[in-house]
Amino acid sequence: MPFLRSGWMTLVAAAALCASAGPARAAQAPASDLAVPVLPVRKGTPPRVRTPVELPPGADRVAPLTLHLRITTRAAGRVSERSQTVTRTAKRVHVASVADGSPAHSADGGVEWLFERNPVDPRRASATYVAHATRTIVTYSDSDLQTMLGISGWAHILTMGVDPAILAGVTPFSAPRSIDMPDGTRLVIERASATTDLQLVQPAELRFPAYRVVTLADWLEEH
Amino acid sequence: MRTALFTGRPWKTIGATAAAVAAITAAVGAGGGFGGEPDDERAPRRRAKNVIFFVGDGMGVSTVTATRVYSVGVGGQLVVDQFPYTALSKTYSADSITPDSAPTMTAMMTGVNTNQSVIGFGEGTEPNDFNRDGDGPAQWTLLELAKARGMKVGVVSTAEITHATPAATFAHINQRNNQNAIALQALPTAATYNGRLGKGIDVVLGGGRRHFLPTTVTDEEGDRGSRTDGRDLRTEFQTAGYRYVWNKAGFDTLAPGTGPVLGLFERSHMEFDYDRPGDLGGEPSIKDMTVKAIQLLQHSARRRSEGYFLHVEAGRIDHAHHAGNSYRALTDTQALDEAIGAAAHMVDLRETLIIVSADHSHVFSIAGYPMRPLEELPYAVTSYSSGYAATGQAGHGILDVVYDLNQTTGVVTESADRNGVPYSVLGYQNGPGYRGTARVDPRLDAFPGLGGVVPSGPSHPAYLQEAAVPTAGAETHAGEDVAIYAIGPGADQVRGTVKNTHIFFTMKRALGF
Repeated sequence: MPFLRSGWMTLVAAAALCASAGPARAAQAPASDLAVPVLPVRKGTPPRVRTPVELPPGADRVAPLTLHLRITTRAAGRVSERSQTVTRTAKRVHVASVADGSPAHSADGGVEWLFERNPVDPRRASATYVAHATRTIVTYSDSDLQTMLGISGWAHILTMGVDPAILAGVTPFSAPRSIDMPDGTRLVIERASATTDLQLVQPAELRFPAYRVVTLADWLEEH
Repeated sequence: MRTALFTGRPWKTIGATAAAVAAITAAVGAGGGFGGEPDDERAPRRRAKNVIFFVGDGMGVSTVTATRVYSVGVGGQLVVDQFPYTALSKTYSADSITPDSAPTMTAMMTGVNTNQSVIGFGEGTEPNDFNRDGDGPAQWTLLELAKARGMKVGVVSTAEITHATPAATFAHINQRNNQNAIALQALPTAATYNGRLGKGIDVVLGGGRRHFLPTTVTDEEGDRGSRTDGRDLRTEFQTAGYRYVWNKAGFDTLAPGTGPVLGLFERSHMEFDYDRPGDLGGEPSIKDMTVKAIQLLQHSARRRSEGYFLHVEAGRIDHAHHAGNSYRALTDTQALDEAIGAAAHMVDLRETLIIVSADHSHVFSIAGYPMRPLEELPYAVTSYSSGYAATGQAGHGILDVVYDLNQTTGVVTESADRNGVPYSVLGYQNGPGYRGTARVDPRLDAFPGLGGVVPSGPSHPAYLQEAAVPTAGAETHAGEDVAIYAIGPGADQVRGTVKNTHIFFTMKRALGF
């Protein structure tokens, strides 16, 4: 109907449609078309109820600490080693890879993590992953950390997954010590310092305001 | 993104509204979008007072089938299975064979196909306007058309409410990621407000609180906002007359007659349905939100007798697939089906059109020739592998390895690859579930799943189904057609194989626009 596509005729036709606007009952519809669907009995698993892990005693009074770590992992017969610095306060933990003896930063395409204790429920946490190469900040919710990384809240982060009793013995300037994890990972604390760079534990969005901020879900969709 | 069409001309009278709708309809027709395809020439048999449009983000046909088996058994019926009209929907965008959610939802909401990442504009608009030739005219969305006719409108999503799919109902922008700007287009007092929304969207429920808060402000659940302009839109929406809620307790207090509602239940996307009970503040389910939205809109619309338009998105089916985790994709699809069922039971289907579709599919498949569970077989078998007896508990067999029958001996055993290794029923063409060189029996697989957990088999919620191609990060969308399901007045227009723009025309004509 080409005439409908041009000029005032279209307007007239459209106006006519509008003039008759108003709901009309579907009296002529076959009854089967309008049968209300039956609600099926679901046989799937009900959702889980996850309770956050309680914090170890004194978790809110931990002293600021910078740890220089060497981490050795064994997987599929291969051994790999990497170095990290961990800047820990009572409310935030910053983790950065170390290349050539100095912490990663925006110039070398490294990555950083900043974990933050939830101020409303201190058993929970959130995190930002900074990918300098793409100038992107990826945000992880407490649920993302649990679901995707197996990090079960702030207690896990504060203790880096290690028995709190072991970490309690780590004091500034103590001698290097090794911690063997159940999964075969060896954690060597080469140096511990009471000096912390508080700039590192500032929110990533403030440290890198020109970076793009995306959720984990969107980050996954793009990759 | 401000366009000439947004410059403060809210329709204040019924007369003006009718004139505006006539002009809109004329403009669409003159542009060739309306009536341009043979399928759009179909005349509806009747008209609807209300339209509810559900979208399962990434809910391809294989996802629906797998969810059916998981949720109600292979011979059972989901709610959508019972809808009388179905069609196949072609999802390609103007510039890609396989689309993202921005162009597909734009197509379904405006009847106009567009480019990747573009929301609410036509194909002359490039993402980020990279050709620097400006954006084309903003297309009219069905929600805007409904609002212009005095109908009540609502948007519900389990994703961020400014995410591509829900945003395409009310926003116009050349880059879907500019979600802070999208939020402003829904705020009636903002300079960049979309004036086509009149006094505003009546019901807004979903995630994405971060786009309504400054980076310097911590929200009710202890998370910071993402806005760099320092604005707290929670306050601004309330100043504009909205009732704001952020958790299940506040949600439960919402009653008909409370005026426009803004519910933002999570800093980012809402929880997967499986994980929802562990949320800090407490979140309503997609079914809860659907029921509440209908209650609020029905009450508001009843006073004006103009009906309502409601869009509901299950946004996290897509995210679970991207993560290579079929379990959460199926449980979120089940949650969507429950919401659809609740809606179908609440409304009068003689006057309410319900349409369900997806924006795109995923590279997700149901492989092999898996037997139905032992207790469902119509015959006795000679013998079977020990694991087969329990496959009924593994999502009725869909979340298990493939068991097949030797038709000569009557023995049921695991189907195996050419090396004799069993494989799971569900899998992906690409994604994080790539195992590397040596496959092992999925039931003995030490491949870490979600959260670094080593699942005890393919029915475990943390299991990552195997993928053939090791993408750098996530599993991807797929380009095959998706299904459309419809019931109610105008549903009979849903038939055949159509472009996804047909959904817009079906809803529009059902409403008599």
